[in-house]
Amino acid sequence: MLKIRLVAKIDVKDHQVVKGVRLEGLRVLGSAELFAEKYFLEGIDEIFYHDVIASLLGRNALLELIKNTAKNIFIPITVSGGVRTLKDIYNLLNSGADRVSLNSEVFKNKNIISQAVKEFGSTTIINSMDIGKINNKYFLFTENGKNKQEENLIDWIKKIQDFGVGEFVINAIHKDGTLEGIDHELLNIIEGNVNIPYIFGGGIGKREDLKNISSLKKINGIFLSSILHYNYIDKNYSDNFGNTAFLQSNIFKKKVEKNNIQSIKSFLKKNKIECRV
Amino acid sequence: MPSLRKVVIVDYKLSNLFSVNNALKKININAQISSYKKDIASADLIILPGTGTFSAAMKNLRENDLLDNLASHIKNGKPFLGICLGFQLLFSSSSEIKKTIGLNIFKSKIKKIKNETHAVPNIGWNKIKIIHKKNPKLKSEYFYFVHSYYADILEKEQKIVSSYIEYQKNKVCSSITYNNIFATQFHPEKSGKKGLELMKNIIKFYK
Repeated sequence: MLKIRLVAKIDVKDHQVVKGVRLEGLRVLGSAELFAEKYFLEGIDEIFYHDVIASLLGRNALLELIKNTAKNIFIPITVSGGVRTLKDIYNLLNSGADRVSLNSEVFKNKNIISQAVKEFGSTTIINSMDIGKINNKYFLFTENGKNKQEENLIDWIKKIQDFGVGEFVINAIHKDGTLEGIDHELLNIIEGNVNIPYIFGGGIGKREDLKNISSLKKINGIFLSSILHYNYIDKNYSDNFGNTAFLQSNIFKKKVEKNNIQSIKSFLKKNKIECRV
Repeated sequence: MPSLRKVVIVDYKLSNLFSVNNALKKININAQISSYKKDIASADLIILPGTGTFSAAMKNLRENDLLDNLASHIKNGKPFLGICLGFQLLFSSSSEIKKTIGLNIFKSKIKKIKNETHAVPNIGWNKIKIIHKKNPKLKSEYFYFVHSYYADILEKEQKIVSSYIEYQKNKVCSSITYNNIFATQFHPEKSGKKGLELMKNIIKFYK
């Protein structure tokens, strides 16, 4: 039986949750710490913080946020965005991150992965792949979707795997924030070419979107983002935080299926997908 | 229950020590994070947490001259909690990166999980199965695991196994209980509310 964990992917800019569509048009939704805590209490299996501007600006600004989050949240916290050196990884782990994911820097310095694996162990080091679909071809992207890379996806998977990384994180950029469901073609390419576990995300907008994953063997986690965030806002929005005009409008309320983490887990169990309850 | 006046989390410069310390704070236990010999020698409860590699951990413990004090604390039957790598270090050796001798409290060895039906490493939540009652009120709940090596328990040491998980059709040891030693392959400090509950019970467990 397939067993997966539900991972809340929280894109962060200056301690605020942001969400856009296909990584563009980011809207501020509220305090990242509050979102994370709420998801923890509701039974999420892991928190994944991604600093969306760190790579572009060449720095990671999540240390304070991680420190505060780790005081109240007793599940794994994984972090990505702007990680360039072993020292960056050490600082993130020392602030309370359990695992660290790298993307952009790996294209500049491939040794970083093997060095990090040697120092911190393969289970601590993850590789994120931001993948976009253009003219029916898949491409790897860096700097939060800004720069397209030329490396072939399948060659890249093999190369990174050989460096000893413990897990992949796959973001389907062309589905991100769209709520229109999983790109199964991409999912099958990943499943067919990896020999380590991976987390898959991008486009999940309703429970039914997860139905067809039960036949997979290597998938280990699912990223949930919009499906959680917009439900959260629907129930908890009370302050003057974030992009108020957007949050008070009904643009997403109609599109987003009513859900919480437990309802998604019940659905998974019904469909023979094991998860923590 | 002994008076655990001095709880020391051993710092060997690789781990996410703050997670363990944050969880302890949450259950009102004050701990000290230290890599000093004098703190290890005077500790009532030693917590050896862990991420990182087996060989790097042993190297750092040796460089800080902590190995003898750690071993004598455990052999003298004083309270000890090992988590993940801190669990694995109790055994005789590991094949991670290069063959490395461990604390050698138990003779079984740490080996790499073979890639059979699942992708390795094992990252995620597994429901543990309980073997014996001499444990700190372990319950068959989901706990968080992240490891690519496991303790291959020898026949003669099976009695120390207090719980296991079924992974790739094999039984993998998820915790050991022996005298005042309790150690887990999983991370109670990262296992949500059930994990915190277990940590409370662990503290009560020591004699």
